[in-house]
Amino acid sequence: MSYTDFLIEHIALIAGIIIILPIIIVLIMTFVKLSQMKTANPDDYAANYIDAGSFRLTESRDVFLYSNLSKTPRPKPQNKN
Amino acid sequence: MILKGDIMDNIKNYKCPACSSTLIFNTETQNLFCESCQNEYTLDSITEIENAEKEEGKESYDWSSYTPRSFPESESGALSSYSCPSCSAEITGDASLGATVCPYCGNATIIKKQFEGSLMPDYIIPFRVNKKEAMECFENAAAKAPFLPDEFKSKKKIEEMSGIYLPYWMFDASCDAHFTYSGRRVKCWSDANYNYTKTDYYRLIRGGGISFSGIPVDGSEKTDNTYTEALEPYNYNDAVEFNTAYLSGYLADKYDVSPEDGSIRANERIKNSTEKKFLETTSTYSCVTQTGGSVNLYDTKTRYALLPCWMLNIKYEGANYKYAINGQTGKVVGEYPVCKKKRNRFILKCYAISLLVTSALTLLGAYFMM
Repeated sequence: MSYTDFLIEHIALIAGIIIILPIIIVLIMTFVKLSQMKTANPDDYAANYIDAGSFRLTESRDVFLYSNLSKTPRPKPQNKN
Repeated sequence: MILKGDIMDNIKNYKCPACSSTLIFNTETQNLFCESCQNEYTLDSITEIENAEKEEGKESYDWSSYTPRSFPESESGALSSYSCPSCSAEITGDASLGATVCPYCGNATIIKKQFEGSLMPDYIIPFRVNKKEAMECFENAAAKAPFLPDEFKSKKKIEEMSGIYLPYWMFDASCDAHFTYSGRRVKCWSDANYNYTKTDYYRLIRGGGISFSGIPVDGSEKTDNTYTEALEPYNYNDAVEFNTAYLSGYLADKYDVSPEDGSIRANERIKNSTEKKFLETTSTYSCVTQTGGSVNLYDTKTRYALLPCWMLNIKYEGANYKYAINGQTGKVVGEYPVCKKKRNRFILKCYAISLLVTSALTLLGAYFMM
């Protein structure tokens, strides 16, 4: 299969990536820039006020519940003969 | 021929309307003539001016009498009056006013009773950033705003800039916490015929404790908590024992939010930070969700402090923009106006570059996948 044929066969996917991915990138970057225009935001955390060395983990238990195994057949290479 | 009348009661002079010199009757033109400024007036115009001046002499001021009003019961405690110690002018402010500048003589005035006895702050962080430095901090921060209109610097109008000590409640607490989570571990492998995915499900149990010091909560209902929290953190190493001398030249309010109401916000912040800290101990698992938890405080302590802040109100293109500047560190918080042209130009430029890069990478990827 030639490169052109490959492109034509997957035109929808390639066009979708080329059009939609830049839109997503632009939206994210614009949102980041706009967030720099408003710096008065509440602080819902108190991380700056944690006493150094005061965190202590006295209990840590990981209890196994159950397991789930799934398998999917691997595609076999096609026999051209 | 000179027309001369000099009526004190019945004698009068005709005065020139332009230069007030005496007018003389000009026999050639039959008009009144001013030798001083060479202007000439008809008898009719001078008569009309005189009649108008007679009307002006009639004045009357007739005011209806004023009926005084008093504040409704619910608002009677909201305002208080104080006497300026420098000029004795009466300053009226709300009941929490602590320090101000007298609007009459410009002297700094401190209302001592607002900070005496049980109302005395435990400590204060004095201003380290003066007005000029605060303005420089603001200009530097504004320059970094990506979509700020170019004319903002030249066309903005500073409506008000005042240094104010804001009342804060400072909360110290230790807490014991206990949390449970559900978590997964996923393992993938393959053999010749199959792709395998094994998912192990766990219940994670965590317990322990953590301590906090100096969580600040805004003690004034007038200030926006969004701004006061955004100004953090303050460096408490600069905190000193309270003295009214630090307030001189600045505004200050005493608290009007009770410590009990302030503790609600402190509890939220403590709980959120504790949950986040314990969640970090489950990082070896994926898709971790909290299924239960409790936080219990002990060794709690509440203190009252005054922290410095510059408040800045700017008017630009008819809209008001409010900013706060940390009076110790110079940190600036607020909302800047957005220039739509700059924003749209950025979007187009960004889209063009992303489109080029994405196209090149996709076509190259397609070539290698072929």
